[in-house]
Amino acid sequence: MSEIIPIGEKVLSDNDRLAAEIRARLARLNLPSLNLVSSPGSGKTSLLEKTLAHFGGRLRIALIAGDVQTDNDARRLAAAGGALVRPIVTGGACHLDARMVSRVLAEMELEGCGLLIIENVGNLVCPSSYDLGEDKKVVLLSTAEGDDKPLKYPAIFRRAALLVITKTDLLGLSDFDLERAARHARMINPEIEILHLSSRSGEGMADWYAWLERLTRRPAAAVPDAGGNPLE
Amino acid sequence: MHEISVAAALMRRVLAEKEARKLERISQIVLQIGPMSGIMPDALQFAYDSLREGTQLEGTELVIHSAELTTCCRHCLHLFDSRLMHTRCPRCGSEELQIMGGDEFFIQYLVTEKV
Repeated sequence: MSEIIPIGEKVLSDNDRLAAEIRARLARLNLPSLNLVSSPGSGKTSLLEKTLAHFGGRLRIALIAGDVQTDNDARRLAAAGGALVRPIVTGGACHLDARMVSRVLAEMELEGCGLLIIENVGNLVCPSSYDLGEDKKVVLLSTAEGDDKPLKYPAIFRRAALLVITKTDLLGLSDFDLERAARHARMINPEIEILHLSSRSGEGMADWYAWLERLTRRPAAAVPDAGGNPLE
Repeated sequence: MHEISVAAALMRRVLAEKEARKLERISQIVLQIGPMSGIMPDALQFAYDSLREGTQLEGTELVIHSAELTTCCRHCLHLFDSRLMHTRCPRCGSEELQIMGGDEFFIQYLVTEKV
């Protein structure tokens, strides 16, 4: 005899539970957090190098740098002045999940940090499925790519709070159209904020720094508390 | 291609359910997947079929229901279903479109067999 057992739960509910624990821990520390996602080569690490140099001692940024096979990105970021940089080498996996992040976070001294940035593995598809407990996802799209990428890889653009269009110093060398890219992104996600910049020329970087500063200045009460025990 | 890790997570989730509810035999796992979920149904099916061999789910079939993707034209408010991304409204030609839903990725139900 057959019987139907309704479940109605997300397939990745185990990951989401761990992500909720991370979110609650970060909320207790009042530490805002970003999950940076893009294709390989759209400039995540360069943007972070410039960002670390800009904030210097004014804002202590904790960084988790995901990479498939080397810790090169983490080394670059530590050399750029990252006081607290930890690599996650996935050994082939195409994304970070909450379990990997949770393990690394457990070993990080986060007291005194003003911002946590998780640099995901370069990939626009798989990272979109995994909540890492971050406050906001930031997706990077470089002008060397197609401006229809939001339509081709909608899941990550749907979930991102901010789209950063990078390498604007190359505009005009390809058919990339800023307006078209923005329209495509808003079709997937009408709420998405959009910045454009070049880490190389410095154009637009002030807007990115201002965006980060707004994130770090939010009042403690605005921190989302997902599943944390208020009596703890 | 993260469907292998997704399939493994799915199997862990279903086996935990089997244990908790003391289910004897699960004949089907039924999933709902939307086109905006970032999960490719064929790749997930292939990953699951490969991973289930030699496990307690060896005889359990994975059934995937694809969810529709509804797009709304913000100019003429025309609603239309599509699996592919449109860049223009098929009715008025406007490019001011908005995708609604399509993020679904959950286990709808399990079908069990009592001996």
